Amino acid sequence: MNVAKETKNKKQFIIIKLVILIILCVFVFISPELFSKYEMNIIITILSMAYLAQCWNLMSGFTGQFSFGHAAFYGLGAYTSSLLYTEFGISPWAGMIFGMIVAGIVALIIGYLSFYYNLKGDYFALATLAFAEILRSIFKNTEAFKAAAGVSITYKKDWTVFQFSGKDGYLYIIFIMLLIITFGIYFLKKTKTGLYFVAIRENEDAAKALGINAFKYKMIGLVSSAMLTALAGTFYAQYYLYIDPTIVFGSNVSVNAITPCIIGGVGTVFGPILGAFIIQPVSIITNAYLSKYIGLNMVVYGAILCAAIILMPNGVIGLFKKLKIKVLARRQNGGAVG
Amino acid sequence: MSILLSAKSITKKFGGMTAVDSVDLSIEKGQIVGLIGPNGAGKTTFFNSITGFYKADNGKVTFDGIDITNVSTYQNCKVGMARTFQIVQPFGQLTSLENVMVGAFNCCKNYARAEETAKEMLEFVGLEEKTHSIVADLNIGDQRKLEMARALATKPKLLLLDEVMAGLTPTEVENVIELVSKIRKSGITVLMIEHIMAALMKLSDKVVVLERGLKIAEGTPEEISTNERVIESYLGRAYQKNEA
Repeated sequence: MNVAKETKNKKQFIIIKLVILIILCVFVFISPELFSKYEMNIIITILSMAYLAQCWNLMSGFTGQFSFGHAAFYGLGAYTSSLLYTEFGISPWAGMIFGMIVAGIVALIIGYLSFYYNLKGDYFALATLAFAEILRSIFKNTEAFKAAAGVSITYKKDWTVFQFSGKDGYLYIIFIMLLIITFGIYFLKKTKTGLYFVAIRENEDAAKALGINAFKYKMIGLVSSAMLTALAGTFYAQYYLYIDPTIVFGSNVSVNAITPCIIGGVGTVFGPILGAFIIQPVSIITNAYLSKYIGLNMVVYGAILCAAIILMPNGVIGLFKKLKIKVLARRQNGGAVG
Repeated sequence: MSILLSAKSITKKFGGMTAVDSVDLSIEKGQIVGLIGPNGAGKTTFFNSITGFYKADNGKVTFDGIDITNVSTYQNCKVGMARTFQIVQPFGQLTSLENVMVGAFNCCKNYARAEETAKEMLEFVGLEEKTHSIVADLNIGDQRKLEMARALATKPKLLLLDEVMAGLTPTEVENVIELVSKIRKSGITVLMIEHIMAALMKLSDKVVVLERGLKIAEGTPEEISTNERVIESYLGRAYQKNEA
């Protein structure tokens, strides 16, 4: 009977999730009618932040290999597609794929060097940061890559070169990208690879003793995360039509990938999305109201971040889970007394 | 009886210190072999050296006819060696079921099959009620059992137990003793490090004694409990009197 109840609950849960998903899709589809250009821009920024955070989450959240250098892959994606378009006229749609490949190859090199020599924890994080900074320097000082001047993409309203006249095209694309990666992570959790990732995060020695080739799975995590991050880079380049080394290889990109996860919940399916929807409005509001006092906006933003991390060490999702356990325990106790 | 594991002159040095000094060990299929010795004798180091956690400086390990000297840990697991840890190493934020499933994926590629195997193993060690508990919340006795379930789920030929009874209550120790003999009955060979002599004497077919990295004795539990050298260095005079 209990099992039957459980499966019924599960079915209800799936239906609720599907309904939420359909409402979201409809909402995104009609949002160009509802919102101004300024508001659309905010939504697109939030969604692309959520997508980037989800990429970071795939590797660092699940396999526990904390990366501080996702800017490396973001920048490689942005530069590969943009340079291929401006120099050789290759459409960014194809350039996007090349960007993925380039980022994947660089990730293979970074991963091989770090994991082969068993870099862990903070040391791995520092190594990734160093790789991102090296790439930033290379791109800043190489004429062939347009050096510090950056790459400008000529404005041309044509969807075949990944450009749209309004904001709606970009909104649909980033929404679909976010949808796909979130579904991917949702289903990954229920596979052998997903479980192996988490096992490595929780205890690498134990994972190895149970027959997991930790090196291989950490590489899979890093390379897939890097390739997906490259797509976010291309999206950025096509949305703003201008990139330079500081914008796409700067450490603020890596920070943007990490903070939504920390606020929402590292290693959860929906945490990074929730985090992006919380953190981006906070930063917009502090910027809007406090920008006349120079620097104060950053102070308040930082204070809110610190408070969130101290009060919710496992993110918003972790807070929900804690509350759920408390409610369940109370219900059980109540039952015992009654 | 055929030999399942044979380790020949295993040596492991840390800097100038020789933790394990050319130790030989052979285990026959179906045996329970006990490994004892005072603290710091090199028991766990020996374990780590034959399971690939450490790279041995010298020696050769053959398992079921295959040379596995210095192959990596996960490959050792693939050929059929599974171990537990002296200090429990759970996947803390996962449930018991998920913990055991990690092991079960070695034999079953399919998710549902792995889940089934994991459930069987939890039942085998008597943790079926904790199937969906988060492992960090389990007590030490249950965590030890969970580690055994996890190792068993890899379907090993040889199970290496590193002090699975340490820190348990007498009732729990009884439970684990029963469990180990159940494991042997199911056809799995066992090598165990243990400090609880009563348990070890009851279970083992053969006992090996290490002291300061050297093997000082090997034999049946009776032979060991009367061996002068072992009494001197490890068991102590009181133990001999109690036995008599």
